[in-house]
Amino acid sequence: MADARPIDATKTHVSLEHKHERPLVACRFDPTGRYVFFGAEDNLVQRFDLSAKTATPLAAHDSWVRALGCSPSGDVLYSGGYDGRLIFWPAADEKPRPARVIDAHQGWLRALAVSPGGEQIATCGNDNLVKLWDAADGKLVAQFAGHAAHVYNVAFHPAGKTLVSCDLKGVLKEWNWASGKHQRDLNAAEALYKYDTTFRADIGGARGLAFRGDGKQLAVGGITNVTNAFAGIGNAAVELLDMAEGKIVVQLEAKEKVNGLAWGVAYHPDGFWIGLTGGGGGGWLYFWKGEGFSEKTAIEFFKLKLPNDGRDLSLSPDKRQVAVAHADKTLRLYSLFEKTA
Amino acid sequence: MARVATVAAIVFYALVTAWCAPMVADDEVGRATGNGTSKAALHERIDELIEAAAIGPLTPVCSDADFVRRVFLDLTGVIPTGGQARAFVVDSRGDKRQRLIDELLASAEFLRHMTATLDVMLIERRADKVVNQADWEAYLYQSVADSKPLDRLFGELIQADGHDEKQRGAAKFALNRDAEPNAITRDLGRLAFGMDLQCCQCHDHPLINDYYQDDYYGLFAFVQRTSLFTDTKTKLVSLAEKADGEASFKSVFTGASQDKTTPRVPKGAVLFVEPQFTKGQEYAVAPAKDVRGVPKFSRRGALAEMLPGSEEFARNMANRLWALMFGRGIVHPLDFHYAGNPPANPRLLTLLADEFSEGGFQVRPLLRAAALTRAYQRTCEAPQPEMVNFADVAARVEQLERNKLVKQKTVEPLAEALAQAKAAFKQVRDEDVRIVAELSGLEKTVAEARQSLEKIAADRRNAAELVTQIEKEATAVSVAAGKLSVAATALPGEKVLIEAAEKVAARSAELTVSAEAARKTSQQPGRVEADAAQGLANAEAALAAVIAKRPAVESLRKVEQTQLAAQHRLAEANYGVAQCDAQIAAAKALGEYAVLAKSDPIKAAAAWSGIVEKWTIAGQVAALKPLSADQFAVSAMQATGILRGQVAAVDEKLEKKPPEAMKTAEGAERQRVKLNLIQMEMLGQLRGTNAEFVRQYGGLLGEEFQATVNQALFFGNGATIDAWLKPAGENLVARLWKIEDTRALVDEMSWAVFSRAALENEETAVNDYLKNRTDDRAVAIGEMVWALLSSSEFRFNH
Amino acid sequence: MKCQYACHSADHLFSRRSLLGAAAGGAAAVASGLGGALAATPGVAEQIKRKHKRILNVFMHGGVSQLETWDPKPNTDTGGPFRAIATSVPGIHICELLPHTAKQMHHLAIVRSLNTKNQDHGKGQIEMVTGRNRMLGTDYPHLGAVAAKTLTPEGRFPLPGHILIRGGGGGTGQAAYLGPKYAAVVMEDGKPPAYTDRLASLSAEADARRSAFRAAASDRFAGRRRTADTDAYTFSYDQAADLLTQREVFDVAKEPAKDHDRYGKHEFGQHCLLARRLLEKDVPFVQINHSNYDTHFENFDFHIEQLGEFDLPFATLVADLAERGLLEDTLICVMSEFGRTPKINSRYGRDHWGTAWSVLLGGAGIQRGACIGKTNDNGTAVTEREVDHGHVFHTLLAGIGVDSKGEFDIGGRKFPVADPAKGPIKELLA
Repeated sequence: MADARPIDATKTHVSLEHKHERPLVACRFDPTGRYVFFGAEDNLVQRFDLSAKTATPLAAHDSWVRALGCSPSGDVLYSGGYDGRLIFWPAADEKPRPARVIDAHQGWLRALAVSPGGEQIATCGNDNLVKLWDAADGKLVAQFAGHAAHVYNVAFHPAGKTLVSCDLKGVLKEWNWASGKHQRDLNAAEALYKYDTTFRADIGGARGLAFRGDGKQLAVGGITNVTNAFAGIGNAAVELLDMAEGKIVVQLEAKEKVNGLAWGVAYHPDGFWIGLTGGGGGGWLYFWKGEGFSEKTAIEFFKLKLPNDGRDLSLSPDKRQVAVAHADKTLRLYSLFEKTA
Repeated sequence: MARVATVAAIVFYALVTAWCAPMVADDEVGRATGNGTSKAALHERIDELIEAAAIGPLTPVCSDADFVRRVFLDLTGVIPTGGQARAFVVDSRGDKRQRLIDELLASAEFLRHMTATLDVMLIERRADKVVNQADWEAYLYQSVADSKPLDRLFGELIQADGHDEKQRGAAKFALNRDAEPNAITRDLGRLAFGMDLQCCQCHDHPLINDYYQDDYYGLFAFVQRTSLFTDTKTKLVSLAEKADGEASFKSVFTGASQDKTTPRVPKGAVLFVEPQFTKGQEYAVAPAKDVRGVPKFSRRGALAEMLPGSEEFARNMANRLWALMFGRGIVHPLDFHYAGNPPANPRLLTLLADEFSEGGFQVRPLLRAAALTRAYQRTCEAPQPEMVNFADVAARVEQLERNKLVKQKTVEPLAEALAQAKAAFKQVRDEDVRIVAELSGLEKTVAEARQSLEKIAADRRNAAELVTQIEKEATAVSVAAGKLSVAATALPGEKVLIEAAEKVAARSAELTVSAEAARKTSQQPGRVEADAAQGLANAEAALAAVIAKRPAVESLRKVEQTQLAAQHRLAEANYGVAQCDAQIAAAKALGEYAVLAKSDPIKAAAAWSGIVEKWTIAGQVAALKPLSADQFAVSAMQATGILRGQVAAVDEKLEKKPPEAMKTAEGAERQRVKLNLIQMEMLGQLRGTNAEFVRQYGGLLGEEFQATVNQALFFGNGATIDAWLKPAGENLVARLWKIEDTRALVDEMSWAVFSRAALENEETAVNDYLKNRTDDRAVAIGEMVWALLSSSEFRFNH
Repeated sequence: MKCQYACHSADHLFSRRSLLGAAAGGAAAVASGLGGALAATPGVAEQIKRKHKRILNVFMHGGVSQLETWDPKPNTDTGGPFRAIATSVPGIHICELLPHTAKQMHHLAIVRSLNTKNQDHGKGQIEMVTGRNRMLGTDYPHLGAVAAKTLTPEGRFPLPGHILIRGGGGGTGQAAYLGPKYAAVVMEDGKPPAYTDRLASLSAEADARRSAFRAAASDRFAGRRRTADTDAYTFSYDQAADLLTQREVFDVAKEPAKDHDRYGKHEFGQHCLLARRLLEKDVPFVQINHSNYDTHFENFDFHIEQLGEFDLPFATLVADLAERGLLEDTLICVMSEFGRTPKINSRYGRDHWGTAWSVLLGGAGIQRGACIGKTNDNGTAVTEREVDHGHVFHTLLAGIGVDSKGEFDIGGRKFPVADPAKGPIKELLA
C-alpha cells in the first residue's frame, strides 16, 4: 500500500543496503518497482528483489556490465557490457537465461537506452557508433555514424522521435530514429572535456545523460576544470541544455566544488534535478532546482554526503527513491522523504 | 720525516743514471747522483728523483712560447693574451720563468682558477642547492686568498654545520649531498684520502684487495650521526648531529658482519676515546621536535682534528696538486691509492707528501715547486729513436733485475716488523676493549651498592620521625590522663567521667609502650647500613682498580703510530719493487722496439708510442694535456678577444659604482681589491658560458679525454662560437680585419690563438686563404680563426 | 674474508684507445702507421664480431599496468574489465588491448616476475635504465650509454650511439662515468638533434674550406706530438662532416608515405617509424618515450587510449624489423618505472606498484616466445622466478653479446658493467 509521506528531497536518507562481493558499476530499477538490477566489477548482472531482499545472478557477459534497461512492461531486461554485447533477458524468470545475445559493438558497449514505447533499444560504444535495435527481434534497425570519439552515453527524447548521444569530447548529436538520420548537432558540452597535455591523454565524456520529463531540457553529467587528468583532479558538473535552442543554458555544480565525476543525473517530476558524484571528493547526492522554476538557473538546495563513491543512479518508478551503485560493494536505496522514527 | 734512502737504492740510482748519462745534460748528472735527502730546493729534489729513476731520454726544456701558454693554463685556467705571450718571449731576463710563476701565483686569476678547480673537485658539478653557488665560491675564493691550509679547509668542510652564517659556504660540501652519510663517506674517502671505498658499503671491494668494509664503516662512523635539519620558522637547512649511534654492517656476499665499528681514518688512526657523559648530559642542545641537536662531542669535529695527522690525507692531497700541473697523478687514478696501484715514483710522492704536511699544507709552495721543475718545463715533443742507445739494453735489464732482488730483500724484514707491530697494537687494543667492557659491568655494581645503602639510611630516618611523632601524642595523652584522674577523684559520682579517665589512662599506657618500641627500632645499631656502606666502598675500589689498569691513551697512540709507520715503510718498500718492475718493463720495451724496428715498422710505430707514453708518465717527456671544458671555453674567449671585453665591462661597472671595499682602499691596495672583485664576478659570468661546453666536453677532474661528433658539431654549428668570430669592437677578428699586411696579420693571429709567432708555411697558407676574399675578408678571417681554434694545437695544453 | 665473485677482466670490452686507433686507421688522414697499428689491437677485432648489434628500448612513462598488458588476470577481483587474447605463441595470452602486438609475440618474450620493491617514479626510472639500486649522489650510466660504448661500430661511424626520442616523459640518458661521448643525443618530439644544421651564414664550401685549414694546422701540430687523443680529436671533425652529409637520417619525413600511413601520423607512430630509420642506419641504441600511464583515475579508459596509440605502431615496427632481417641484431625492450596495483581503487584507478609486474623483451639474443616467471591468480605476488631491474639490465646486455659481468676500464678506473650482485636471466637468452 502506497506510502503517504510527501516527497522532501532535503529529508533524503538511506533506506536499504545490499552487500555484494565486488564494487558496483551500474544499477536500474525495473518499471514495476519489484527489482533493482545492477552490474559490478565482475561479469555478472544481479537482479535484486526488493521485497525478498535477495539477489539472483544473470551470467552471460564476458566483462563488466555498465549498461542496463528494461522494456516498459518490465518483462525484458536489456544489458550491455564492456564485452561489446547486448543481451536480452526474461527479467522475471526464476533463473533468467539469455533470450538473445548480440555482438553489438567493437570494444566497449558503454550505454543503452530504451525508446519510450519500448519498440527499440539504442546502444553506443568505443567503435564511435550509435546503434538502434528492434526490441522484438533484436535486428539492427539503424546505425548512426558521425562521432569521432568513443560514444559514452545515449538517451531517447521522452516525447519526440529522436535520441541524443554524447562522446568523449562532449560532442552531442541528435538523431532521428524514425528516419535513421542525423538530425542536428547540439552545442558540445565542451566544459566536460579536456586534453591533458602533461599526460598526453583525453578526459571527458557524458557519464550521466537524462532528459527532463517534458523533454525541454537535457542534462549531461561529467567532469570539468580538470587540472590533473590522471589523478582525477577536476570538479563534478552537469551541463543543462535547452533542447529548443540546442544550447547549454546553465551548468549545475556543487556550491562547494567537489572533486570527481557526475556519474548519474535524473530529473524528478516535482521539478528538481538529482546528481550523483564519485571520485576524489567522495560520493554525494546533489539536488538542484530552478529559481522560481526558471529554466535558466539552478540552485543547489540540498546535498547529501554518501557513505562511499557513487557510480550510477536510478530513480524509482514511483519517484520516491533513488538506487545508487557504490564502489564499496554496496547497492544503496535512498528515500526522498522523511524517515519515520 | 724525509726518509733516508737505503744503500741499495743509492747504488741503484747511480747505475741507472750512468746509463742515462749520455742522454742527460752534464750539469744534471751531478744532481742526479745525489739522493732525495739533500736540502736543495724542493723542485731540485723532485727533479733528482725523477731523473734518477728515468729509463731512457729526458726531453729538453720547452720553448718560452710553450712555457708561457702551459703555465698560464695550469695556474690561471686560461691562455695568455697575445700581448702577454709576446712580452714574455721577448723578455731577456734569465729568471723570467720563475718570475712569471710567482706573478701568476699571486694573481687574482689564480684565485679564480683555484676556486673553480676546488669547486669542481668538491661538488663535482652537482645541481646547485641549499647553499647557493655564490656563497660557496666566495668561501673558497677567500680561503685561497688567505692561503688557508688544505687540512683546515677540509676540516671546515667536515665540521661546518651551516647554522652559523659564517659557516654557510663551508657547509655546502655536506648540505649539497643532503647530508646523506653514505654519500659523504664515499666522497671524503675519495677526495680527502684518495680511496674510493664505495663498493665497500655493501661488501669488501671485489677488485681491490685492500679496501675492506670496515674501512668504509670506520669513516662512516664519523658522519653517520649527522643529518639534515630544517628550521620550521626560518626554513634554514643545516646539519644536526646525534650523540649516539654506532656503525654496523653486513656483507651482502659473505654475510660477515660487525655491529659496532669504531671510528677510524681510512688506513689510519682509530678514535680511541670519546668523552663519556652521563645520560641526559650528552648535548649542548638536546635534539627535539623542531630543535637542532648539538652534541657536546662531535664525531665530525673529531675527524677534522685527525686530518693533519693522516699520512693518507697528505699523500692524497700532494698527489692531487701534482695532477693539476702534470695532468696525471703520481698515483693514478687519483681515487685509488692502494698496494695494487703503486705510485709511478714512490719516493717522489713521499717527498711531496712530507714537504706538504711539514709546510703546513700550503697549496702555492707545492704548485710553485712543481712549476719550477725541469720535469714540468720539458718539451712535449716525443723523443725519436735516434736519441736512444739500444746497444746495451740487455745488460741494463740484467742490472735492473739485480737491483730488484736487492730491493725485494728489504721487504721481508719490514713485513715481519709490521706483523709484530700489528700484534702489539692488537694486544693493547683488545685489552683496552676488554677493560671498557668490564668497566660497564663494574659501574653497574657501584650504582646498585649506592642505591641499597641509600634505601637503608632512608628507612632509619623514617623510624626516627615516627618515634618523635608517637612521643608527642604520648605526652599529650598522659597530660590529659592526669587532669582527668584529678577531676574524677574530685567528682566520684560522675560515672562517665571516671570511665573516660580510665580509658584515657589505658591509652596513655599503650602509647608509652609503642613509643618505647619505636625508639628501639630507630636506635638499633646501623649494622645493615654499615655492611651496605662497606659493599659500596668495595665496588668503588674494584672499579678504580680496573680503571687504573686501562692503558693510557698516549701509550695506545704510541703503539698505533708504530704500527702505522711500519705499514708505510712496508708499502714503500713494495712500491720500490713495483717501480723496478716498471723500469724493467720500460727497458725491455726498448729492446722489443729495436727488434720490431727491423722486422715490422707498423708494430714498431705502435710500440714506440707505447714507450713514449711510459716516459710521459715517468716525467721524462711533457704530457699533452687536453684543456678542460672550462679552460677550452675561456681560452677560446681569450683568443677571440671576448674575455677582455667582458673583464673591461666588469671593471667599468665597478668604477662606476665602487663597493665599500674599493672605496676604503687606496692605490695599489685599491687595485688589488678591484682585481679580486673582477675575478669573483667573472666566476659567475663564465659559469654561464661554460655550461654548454661542460655538457659537450665533460666537466669532472681526471675524467678520461673524449673527442665526440657532438663536440665538433657544437663547435662548428653552434651560435656561441660563431658570435665570437664576427668582427665587433676590439675582438680578434675586428683587429685582424684592420691589418693590411699579411705577415703582421698572421703574427697577430698566431700570438692571440697559439701564443707563439707564426711559422713560414703558415704565412703562405693564410696568403692562399685570403686570395680573392677581398669582398668578404672579415668572413675569411673568421673562418681561419675558427680553424685554428678547432685545431689540436689549441685543444691541448702542450 | 675477501669475496671473489665473478668480476672478469675487461679485455673483451675493447679499450678507448683501440677504438680511436681504429678510427684513425679508418680516417687514414695522416701518414704514420700509428693509427693502423692501433687498429690491429685485439679489442677492435673483438668489436667487429659484435658489429651492428642494436637495442630498441620503449619506455612507458608513468608506470604501465601489467594487468592491461603482459600479465592479464581476466574475471578476477583485480583483473579489470578486459579480456585476455591468444597470441602467435600458443599458451601465451596478453590483454585484448594489444591485438597487433599479440600477432608478433613469436618475436618477443615476457618476464612476468619483476619485483623491484619501489613505488617512486624518479627512482623507478633511474633503476630500470641503469640496472642499479639508486644511491643518492651517485650516477650510473644509462643502458643507452653502455650500449653505445660497447656497440658503436668502428671506423667512420658518424651517427650518435645513443639516441633518445622524447615524446613526453623525462629522462636524460646520462652517461655518468662513461663520459659525454655516450650521453643521449635527444630528439625532442622527434626533431633532429642540436647542431646538426649548418649555420645559415656558412655555406658547405666555406665549411669545407675552413675544415681543410683546420686539418692542415692539426697536421702541423701532429709533427710535434701525436697521440691517440690528438687523432681522436681531429677525427671527430671528419665524423661531424660525415654526419652532416647524412643528416637526413634524422628526418622521418623521408620515409615513404605508405609507411607513414602504416605507422600512423600521431606522435608515437611517427617516433616508431623514426626509430626504424635510425636502427636501419645501425644506430646502436634508440629509446622512445611513450607518455603517460600514471593512471590513478580511470585506469581503464586511459589504457584503452594510450595502448590504442602504442599497439599498432609498435607491432608494425617489430614486424618490419623482422621482415628486414634487422631483428636478428636488434634487441627490443618495453619497460616502465613500475607496474600498477592489482587493487582497483574507488576511482577506477590503479596506483604505483613495484611488487609484481612485467617487462617485454624480444629480438636479438632473446628466446623468442618465452614467458619467464609467474604471479599468483590475481597478480598480487610473484610466485615463480622473481627478478628485478638488475637482472633485466644484465639480460639486455647479455642479449647483445656484452659480458655483463665484466668491467669498464675508464682511464684506469674499473667499473662493473652491471650490478655485480646480479646476473642475466639465463633461460631467457637464446
